[in-house]
Amino acid sequence: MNQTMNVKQLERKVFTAYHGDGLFDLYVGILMIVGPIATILRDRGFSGIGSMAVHLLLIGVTCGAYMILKRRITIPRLGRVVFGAKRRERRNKVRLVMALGVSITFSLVAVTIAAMNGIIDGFGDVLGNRILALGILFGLKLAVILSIAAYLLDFNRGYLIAVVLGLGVGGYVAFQQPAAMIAGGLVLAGVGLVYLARFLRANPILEMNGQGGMHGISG
Amino acid sequence: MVSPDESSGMIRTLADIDKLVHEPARLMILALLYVVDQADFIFLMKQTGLTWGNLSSHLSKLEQAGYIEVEKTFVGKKPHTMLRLTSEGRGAFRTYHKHMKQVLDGLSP
Repeated sequence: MNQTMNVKQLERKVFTAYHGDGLFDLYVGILMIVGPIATILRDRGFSGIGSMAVHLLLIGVTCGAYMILKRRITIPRLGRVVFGAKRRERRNKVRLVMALGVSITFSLVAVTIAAMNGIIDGFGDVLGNRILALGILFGLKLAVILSIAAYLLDFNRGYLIAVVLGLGVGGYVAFQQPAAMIAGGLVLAGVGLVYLARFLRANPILEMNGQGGMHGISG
Repeated sequence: MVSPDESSGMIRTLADIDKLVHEPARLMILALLYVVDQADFIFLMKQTGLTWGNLSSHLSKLEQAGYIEVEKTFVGKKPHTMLRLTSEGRGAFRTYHKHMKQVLDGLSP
């Protein structure tokens, strides 16, 4: 017998258990579904500002719901844990990577808008004819950035999220069709719901009874 | 093949093992607290599969030995207990890990 205690694997197991509720997949999925909402509303005659306001409201509600559900569903079932310095260090690296990703996205968006409005001379027609390439670039960038984040966090399900989000956003930009984002969102939300259902079945809420013992309450 | 001298060395290492850490339930608790910064009672119960009474008993022993510290707070109006390893506890776990690794590596076929 040559077994050693692999504390790194144990820490990863704990982290995975804590995110085995499927709520993050559900959260990203719903964000993808509401992502094209501003475009859809504008196509149906809503004002630009009105569409954006609805969009931001839905994003806010989704973020709020995620935090509330984490507190109401996961924590009562799994308890509270504060991860160690190594995990926090990884999370900081992920934040840097995501900040870089956001900067690149904003730069690309700014250049695209400027070029399409003729503000940057010489690029207008070029970029306008290469929306497909731009979509692929956006999607690929997103998938790469999120895959790096998944690698740094040692979170395997993050790779699926990276690929689906990359395809969805890339497809939306390339073909100007909300269907790509919505389809991707439905896939992730579906995965999230499956994980959530399994999580709820496997982790009843434990409550103290009057005598100081505990009993499980399903649901 | 292990020589007689190596064998008696390993047996002495086994004798030095911290029996407080070596108990399986307490080892699980220490291992979990080692890989996180802090955790609460429910988390330890879920991860170890121990009953409330059993977990409570082991935590008391570890606290008495100075291996864990207990922080009682409130979350909203509900009392809440967070547990973390002390530096002695981390040291004890690392020493145990090292001893066991030496013994198990020495016993490899």
